[in-house]
Amino acid sequence: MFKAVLADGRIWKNIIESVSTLVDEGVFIADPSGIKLRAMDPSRVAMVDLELPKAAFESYECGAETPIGVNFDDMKNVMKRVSGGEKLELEKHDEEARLKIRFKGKSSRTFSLSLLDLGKEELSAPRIPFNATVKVPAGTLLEAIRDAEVVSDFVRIVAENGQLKVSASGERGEVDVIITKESGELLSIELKEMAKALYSLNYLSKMMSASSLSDIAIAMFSTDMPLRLEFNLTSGGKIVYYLAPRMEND
Amino acid sequence: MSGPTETDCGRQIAMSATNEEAGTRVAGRVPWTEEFMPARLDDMAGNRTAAEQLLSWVKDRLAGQAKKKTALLHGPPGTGKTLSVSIVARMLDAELIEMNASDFRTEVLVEKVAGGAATQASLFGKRAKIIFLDELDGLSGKEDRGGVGAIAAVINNSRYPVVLAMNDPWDPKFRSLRDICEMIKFSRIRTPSIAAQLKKVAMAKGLLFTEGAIEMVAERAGGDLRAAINDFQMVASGRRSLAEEDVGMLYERTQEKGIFDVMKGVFSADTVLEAKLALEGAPADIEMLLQWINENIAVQYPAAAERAEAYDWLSKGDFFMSNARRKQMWGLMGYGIELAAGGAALARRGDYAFARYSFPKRIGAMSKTKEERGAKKELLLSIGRDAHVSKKKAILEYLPYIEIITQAGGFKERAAGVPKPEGQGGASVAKPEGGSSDQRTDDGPREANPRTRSGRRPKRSGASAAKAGSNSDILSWLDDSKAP
Repeated sequence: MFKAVLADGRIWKNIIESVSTLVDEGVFIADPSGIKLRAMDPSRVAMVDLELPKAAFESYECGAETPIGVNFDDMKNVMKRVSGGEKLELEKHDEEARLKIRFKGKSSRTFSLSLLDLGKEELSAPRIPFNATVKVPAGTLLEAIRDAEVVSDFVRIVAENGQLKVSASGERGEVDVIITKESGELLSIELKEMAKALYSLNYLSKMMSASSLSDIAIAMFSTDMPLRLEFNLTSGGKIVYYLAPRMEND
Repeated sequence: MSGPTETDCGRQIAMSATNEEAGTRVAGRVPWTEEFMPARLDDMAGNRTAAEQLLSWVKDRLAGQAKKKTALLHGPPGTGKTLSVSIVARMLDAELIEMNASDFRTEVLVEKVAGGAATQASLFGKRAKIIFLDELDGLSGKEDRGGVGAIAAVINNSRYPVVLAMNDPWDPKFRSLRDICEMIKFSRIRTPSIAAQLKKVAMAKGLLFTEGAIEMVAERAGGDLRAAINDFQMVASGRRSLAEEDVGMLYERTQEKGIFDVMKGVFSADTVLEAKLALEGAPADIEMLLQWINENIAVQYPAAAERAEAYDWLSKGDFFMSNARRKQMWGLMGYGIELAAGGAALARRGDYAFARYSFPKRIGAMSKTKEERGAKKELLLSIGRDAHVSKKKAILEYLPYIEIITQAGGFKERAAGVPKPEGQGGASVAKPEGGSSDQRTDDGPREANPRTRSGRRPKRSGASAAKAGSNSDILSWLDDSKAP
């Protein structure tokens, strides 16, 4: 038996939307400490790692580890129906292959979502030595990514000399976004050595959909290595994305 | 098969629904094709040269020295194409990104998955990747022409080796691909090599066997090693030793069996396993096959006892099937299949007798009664609208009374001594079929209808002629009632 109540249903809606941009289906693991989800996009280039501890919920009960395999499109469609001010109740009985999703506001509305039996793929997060750790307001990073999208399909991210540079160039033109401490937008930067890498905007902009859930984005990367992008959710818990670097053009 | 075996399997069919062990033996086991998958190219039963050609191409491609942009593995099923790619990937510590037939549905998906993987480095820090597009034969028809284009684009943009696999590379739609491919041919595995492989499996499993039995399985696989091992596992399941006669039930592996052969196979089976095997390679999905069994139990078994038993098992099987669907617990389907097919076979008392099997009538009946069901639905909706009730409630609580009322209308007319001329008003809506027009003028058969006389609710079973009649009556009554 698993039952969790979120004070604001729209939080779950946003979480599901940020996950579903990358992943078609996945298995939430609910255990006594909270809910976790780790899933990869079909091309195995990006990974999402979600953690919602017990404390992020208004109430939470879960006796034993419960896998909840979902099709994210289905769940997203259900969550589109939630309105402001409605509580969300998630409930699964041990013997049932269904998840009850209940919206509680002026009325109580219950959806019953068929679950998928996806087996259990043990995914471990990529273990990468990160040379650069950069903390910026999520909104600032989002704007930089959107700027880059205007001219290209991929973006170069460089961390050196106490500043973060997001730049892109393509047939359509070039753009440079420089984020410094002086402007107050660079909250912190730690460098073991300078780092620069190329990432596909297609994946990156999908990951940025989580910026609506968090004030701060923490980016960690090394030269030509995967990017780790962490959003600490204002409502508790966190979403971490991993993205493989794009290969340099020959 | 002898008597004892039959009872044994009869027990098995009863147990398989509840007994964990029976379940794991048949449904939840690890396929031997996986358990005994070779780990090295040298362990492959055949096509080692082809696999080595692939290895050296991938190495060249990774070093940027390959002459061709991509490699195309072609050959019949079960000859080691997929296997050699996975061995090569493991040997070179490369991340394997695999797509197969079901993933090629749209251009967008190919681009998203293969295209994405082909231009990004590995997320797990692997130095190399192999993009493997398997079972490309699935790409067919006009809509997939874009699919070939998308695959060509992936090949051109890829930073990593792209390997394609298909059975028949000479299809015109692959012409553009062939020119940029290193063609690597995989041939059918020779029967002695298959036999040798089966022996290894048998020894590892501690299974006693006769040479003849192994040879039979090997020969019938027709050069398809995967099929041979699958067949072998099937015939060997639940046995400690294997002789020729145990293999006898194994069908020649053909591309597709006719549905009538499948029915014959099911009804002539002596064991549950045999009946289940008969469904292999059937040209219909499992739901359809159960319809076929449902239809033909009555054809096969004129005797009531046999018929009853077969239907009883089928109903138990259906219980599992519908639960599998409803609860999405697909593992239950295995039990459903065994109960339905096994039951149909084991209900037989004597020897198998030839029967002329027929197509399931349900589909025909559904399409024939489409109009009628449409009319009924409309009627129910209009009841619903006027009486503010759901369709379900209209069926349960209104329709039976309306039927009675329409019958009563007949009495009233008779009492007034004015027999209503037949076919007016109502006939334009109601199809005068199923004897309904006769019923309206002649009260005899109507009064004789016990259902309406006693006012009992009609059973909601298949659309019988009687039902067609009563529907037409109601429709004509509705029309009449508007007239005055």
